[in-house]
Amino acid sequence: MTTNPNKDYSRDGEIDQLLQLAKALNLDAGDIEKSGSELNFTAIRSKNLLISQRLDSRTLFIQDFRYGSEEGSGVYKGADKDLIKMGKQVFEALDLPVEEAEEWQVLTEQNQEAQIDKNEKVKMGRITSGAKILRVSRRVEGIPIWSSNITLRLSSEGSIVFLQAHWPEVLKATLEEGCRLDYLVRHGWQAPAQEGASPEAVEAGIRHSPPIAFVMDAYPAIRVIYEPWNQRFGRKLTLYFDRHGREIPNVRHVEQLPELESQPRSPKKDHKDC
Amino acid sequence: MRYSTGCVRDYIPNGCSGPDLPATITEGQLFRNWYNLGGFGLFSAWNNGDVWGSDFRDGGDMDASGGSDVPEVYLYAGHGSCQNPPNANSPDFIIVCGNFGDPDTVTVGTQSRWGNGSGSLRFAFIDASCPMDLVSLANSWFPTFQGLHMAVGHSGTSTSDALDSDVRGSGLGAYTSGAFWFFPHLSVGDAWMTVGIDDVQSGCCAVALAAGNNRDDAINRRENERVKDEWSDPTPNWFAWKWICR
Repeated sequence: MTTNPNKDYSRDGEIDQLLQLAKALNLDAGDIEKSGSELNFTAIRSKNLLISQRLDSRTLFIQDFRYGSEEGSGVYKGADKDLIKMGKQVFEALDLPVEEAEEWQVLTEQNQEAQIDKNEKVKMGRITSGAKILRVSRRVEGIPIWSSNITLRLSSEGSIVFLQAHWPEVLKATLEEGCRLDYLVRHGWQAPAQEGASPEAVEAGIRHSPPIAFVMDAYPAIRVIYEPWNQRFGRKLTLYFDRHGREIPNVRHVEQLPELESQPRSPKKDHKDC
Repeated sequence: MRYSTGCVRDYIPNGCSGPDLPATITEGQLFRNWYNLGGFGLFSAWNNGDVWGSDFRDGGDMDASGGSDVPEVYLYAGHGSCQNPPNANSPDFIIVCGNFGDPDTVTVGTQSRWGNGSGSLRFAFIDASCPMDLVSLANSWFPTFQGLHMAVGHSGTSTSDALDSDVRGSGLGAYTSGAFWFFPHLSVGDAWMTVGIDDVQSGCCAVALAAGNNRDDAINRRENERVKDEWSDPTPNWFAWKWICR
């Protein structure tokens, strides 16, 4: 990659690019109250809008602060196709390869309320449909990129009120190893045994750091979801392995995590349990 | 505002039925990272055997070394319990593997009460899968709200379960902590609707439940209350909840 002589690499140029991005998504930021770059993010913030982009990944966040507030813009309950259309506009504005989009899933929040009356009886209200949310998953050359997604919420008028677009570029070598792992899975690769659970689902794919993170790691992996022997246990053990059956390093979110003091907890004399 | 984390990875080594959940420890670390950056005060952060069943039972939850009703925010990451399928009378459970404060299994609906007496808990974040079954919310969760503002968790079955993962707790921490001006700062309900369905199986639902003085108050909290808003404790005359399923 070479420097583009026609592109403005200055701070002002960077801010202008975010404004152009907003414009491409039919958003008007209005008067900018704050802008700048911190850590691996660059962002602009106005009274109504936050537009924030990662410097190390194709990752963009948008939040309309009016959404949900008293002066709020209401939730989107319109046609699925219009929500998907706006999702495709996000791909275009961010120059993301739309052919990598695997599933365009329109999810609908469900709402319910209940009253506790004077006699402590519960009066359940009806279930009603709430906001529609678009979630787009990702697959490249047949390999799922588990950690990538686009999450999009619109206002009742169809403008973006929340966007989390996380679609990092995947190195060719990472993808190729993902394809090899997929081959292994389809040709008898055996998941390592774990105490208390048996393999339930085995799939090759790519795992990378999440949208809000200060670093970007990516690993090809075989993901094994284990079913607990005792079915009552919720939250399934899920491990990620390389081609040798060794666990891959965890993808990082930040450079260093806060550690705990090593002092074990000891029961106090005044401890009481009912 | 104070917060706590209780994260249980080790079930098998400590003699409990398993399996182990290795991502819970990182999940707690990441949540603490964002909440520390957001200016919250850490009240307690216990892992494995140092997370006790009694921490979640009324009475023991005021334990000065780590009871869940002492801080304003508590994240639990560990095993819950699933039924296939649950019904309105199915209990919801938190299952730890403690070195004290037995028993390890907490029946939420009958044993947990938050915000009563001198209890302070406003936000209960339960990333354990299934301990917030939609069909049994009235029995298993409404009675726990004694000042508690909101609780989030999952509704599912053993085939529609949450995976052991650190991304939900990290995302919830990042989106609700207000740690940086360049992060979206979301209400608890919207944050959980966004990250609660990450790394879950098809059919698993993220649930956000709020109490309110009246209907409008409960709905307003479900939709808009942020952890840092410092809204007063609700009298639980009404409940409003929302959910989204993969």
